Amino acid sequence: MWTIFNLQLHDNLRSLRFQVSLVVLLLFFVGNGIIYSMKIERLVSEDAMIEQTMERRIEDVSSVGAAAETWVQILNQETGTEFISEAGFNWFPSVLWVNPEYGTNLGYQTLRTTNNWMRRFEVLDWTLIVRYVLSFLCIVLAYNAVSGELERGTLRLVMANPVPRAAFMLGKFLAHLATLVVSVALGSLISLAILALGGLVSLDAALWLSYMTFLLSATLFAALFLLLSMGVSVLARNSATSLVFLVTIWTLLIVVIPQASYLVATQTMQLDDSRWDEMNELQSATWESLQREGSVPRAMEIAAADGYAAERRFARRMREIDGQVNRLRDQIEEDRWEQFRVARRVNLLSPGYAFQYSVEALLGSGLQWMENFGRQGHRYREHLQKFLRARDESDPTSPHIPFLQDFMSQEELDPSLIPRFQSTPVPLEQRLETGLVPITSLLVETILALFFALWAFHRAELSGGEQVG
Amino acid sequence: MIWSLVRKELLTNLLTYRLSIALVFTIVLSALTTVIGSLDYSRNVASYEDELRNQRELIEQVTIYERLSPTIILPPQPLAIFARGVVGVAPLSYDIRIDDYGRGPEQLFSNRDSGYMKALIQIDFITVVTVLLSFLAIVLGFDGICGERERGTLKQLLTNPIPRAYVVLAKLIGGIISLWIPFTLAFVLCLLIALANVNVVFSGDDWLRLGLLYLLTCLFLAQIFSLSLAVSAFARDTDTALIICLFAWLVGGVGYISALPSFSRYGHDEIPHQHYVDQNDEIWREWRQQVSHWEEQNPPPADAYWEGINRDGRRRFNHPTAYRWLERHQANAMGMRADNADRRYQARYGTWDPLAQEAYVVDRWSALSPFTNYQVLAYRLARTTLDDLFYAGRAGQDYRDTYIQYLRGKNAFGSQRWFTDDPPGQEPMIPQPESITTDMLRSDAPYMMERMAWAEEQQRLANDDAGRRLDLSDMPKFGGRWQRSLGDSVGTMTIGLAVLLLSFGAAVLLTVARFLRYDPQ
Repeated sequence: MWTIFNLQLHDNLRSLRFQVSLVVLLLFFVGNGIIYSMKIERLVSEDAMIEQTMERRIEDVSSVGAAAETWVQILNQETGTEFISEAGFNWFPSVLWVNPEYGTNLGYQTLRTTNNWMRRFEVLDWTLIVRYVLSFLCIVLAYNAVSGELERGTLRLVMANPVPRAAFMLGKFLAHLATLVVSVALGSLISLAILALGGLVSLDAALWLSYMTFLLSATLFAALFLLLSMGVSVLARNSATSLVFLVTIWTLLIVVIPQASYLVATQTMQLDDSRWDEMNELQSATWESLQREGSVPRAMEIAAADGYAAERRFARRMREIDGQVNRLRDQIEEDRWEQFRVARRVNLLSPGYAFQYSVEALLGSGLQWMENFGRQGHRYREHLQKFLRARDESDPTSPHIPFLQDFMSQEELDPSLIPRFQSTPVPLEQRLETGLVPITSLLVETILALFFALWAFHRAELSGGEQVG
Repeated sequence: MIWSLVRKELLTNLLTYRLSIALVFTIVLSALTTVIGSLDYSRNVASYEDELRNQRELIEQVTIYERLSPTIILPPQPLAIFARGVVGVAPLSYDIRIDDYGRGPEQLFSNRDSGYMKALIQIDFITVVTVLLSFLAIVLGFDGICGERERGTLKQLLTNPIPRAYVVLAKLIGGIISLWIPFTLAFVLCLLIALANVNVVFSGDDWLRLGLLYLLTCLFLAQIFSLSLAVSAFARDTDTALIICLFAWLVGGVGYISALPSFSRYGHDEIPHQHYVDQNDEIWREWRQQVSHWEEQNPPPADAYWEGINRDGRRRFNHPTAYRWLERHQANAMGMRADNADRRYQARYGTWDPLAQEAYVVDRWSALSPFTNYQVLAYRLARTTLDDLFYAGRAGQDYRDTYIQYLRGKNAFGSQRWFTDDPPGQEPMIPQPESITTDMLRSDAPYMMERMAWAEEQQRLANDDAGRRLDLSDMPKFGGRWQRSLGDSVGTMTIGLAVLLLSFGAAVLLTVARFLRYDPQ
């Protein structure tokens, strides 16, 4: 087997198609390095600008009461591995609006610059290179692995030796795999070098872990396409037929299925706007009924006369609907996530996306990154409420009606004491949980491809004979 | 003579496995694509009709000018089923407002899809053609000449007394026709699928465009085939020819289409979105300052004058003194609001312009790769490019001017009809505000409770009163030209078409010239 491996390795290194493949792969990775150098630089300055405005909002706060009515923005920090896998970073909402006041809630918004008109294109990250280019190179290298030797008649010579068929196939397969994986490793290291030279990534342990994750998944994915190509190459017996068959399969798996997922998801799960209406109705109905029963905040001196009875009623009712409003708001986002999850399930039919989502999951990016951010937003809001409540309690002059601006402490509040948001990456166990389905399907698909290739080799008539086609 | 050669080429091609496999896949995939595209179209037609109905209801029900804010809703385009482009099949809407230039088609996507769905790409028939049929063209063409040499059949062929030019032309024609056959089948099938959808109605103009789309695709396939035949005539052996063609396909197709947009984003100085947000905040802050400055100099009447039913942005049963004050406020603020709209539009345009330029770069430089060139040409024919989106945007802006003119003509800004539909002489909720004490104004005071009950009763009557509705029979209709004419569209295609034709011609000439001196050994 290792003789075959060595032979094939040498053949590969000498062949034009491998040399061109290597050049193309390197070109793509260099392109990736240059693009992300510019992109990260732009991102850093843009994030600084956004954070400055966010900070200004907090610094404008003068009292506990004012803080209760301030909309605070929090920013979802990038994972730092966007050049490996963008995972929707370009498009997902980047900011959450948080308001401690009852009855209002959280709102997602996109504040980083996005170009909606460029929507029909994908971004040149590592996973894109692997999904499109590497899978295609697998086909180019292996589409005539057997049919070519059959046509040239060299297969008969090889088979004359006492080599088991499985060993012959595995030797060839491993040689192809080795050449491709080394090329990808080389390319990604060049891209990494470009980024590191610009000082845009720090080469720490976490990054190398991400790097190994990527490389391992890419190896599995390449193995899948190589095995598929070799199997088809045996069955087709004719190189051109094998190539056409493989590229049409490639088009289906890599181009058509992932690009159809949007349409399938929007067809099967339509977002209804009724939750917005429900939310608005709930708020205005509450407001109207409070108005009718005269429980609306009044001028300070009038309210003090009856011990803020109306204001207390108002605050109590607002607190009651706070949970409901927030649940509705979360459900709106949850519906959007669910629609996207439908699209993800469609995408998972493609091994390209089994690979993509495996990498995304392990890097802590993609949809789980958003879900994580949403949870943190809720926690931050509670934290902010607790803080303001405690400050308000300590002021004896305050009427202590929580989250009504005028009826909370008007004492000066040092803005630097207000808790700031600190985003944390997706925890490891959750990454593994998210990765379970895509990683399993990638593994299963690769094993199936292995069996397919072995089966094809064993049943095929390899001794040559007349050509078909 | 030449036709018997063409027939031979055609038969050889049609009898190979490669063509039949590709044929089956092309037909299945394009049919699949068209089915989901057509379903998507139906969904969008439904949402278009919904929006239209809401708009009509609004115009029928509206009683004050401030709540009018009409929206232009443009129907989804059936041709987009085949070529989605930037526009897609979603209906475009442009909301007309006084203090804003409306969201407009420029931001069209943001209000329909969630941010998550934007991360996904949408397939159309054109993509299937660009990827799959162009690949078939390569597979048919790459060994057309060197393959025959390697097999030795070329020598045989040339021993016949046929001019060499005939042989190579027959190869070209035969190959091209064998590509047109699967394409035509797929195209007709997709058309039938689209027509099976009752919502799809092609206009005469659409049919012309479809015809041109058919011709364009035929030309594109001929171009790719002749390019790969040229490679075949120049390459050492079939292996080399195939490698060259495959990598050209990979780099020119997948590579170019993903790298070009990524690079174009960094060739322009984007202005961060946050910058626009800050500017916008600043404009509103100034506006509030100006308003409060005016209010300091012109103090509003006391609270009692403002009691009434103020819901859904509409005032009712307030005291006439309050209305007089609001009218003056309105007259003063309207000029500022228009200014604000201009300033905000400029701020927004400042951030949009570089983004639009980036997207234009992709369309403009698409001509460099035959694959992207074809795609963009097809989108131009289907009127789904960014250019077409802006075309509609300009028509929307023109309508905004017309609409504001109409409001001015009606003196809508200077009258109380802007904010209330109370008829002249309407009894206010509090007839003598000057004799009211703060105690009486408390919402739980008996006086207020009695007046509130009166107002609720009046409100019920007013809601049923059709006489309060605005008479909008003379409101100008949106009749602007929002789509390019066929001549216009073809005009925008000139460069791309020229590149397509020139490279096709050059490939044919090169192949013929090379073949005349070709060594069949």
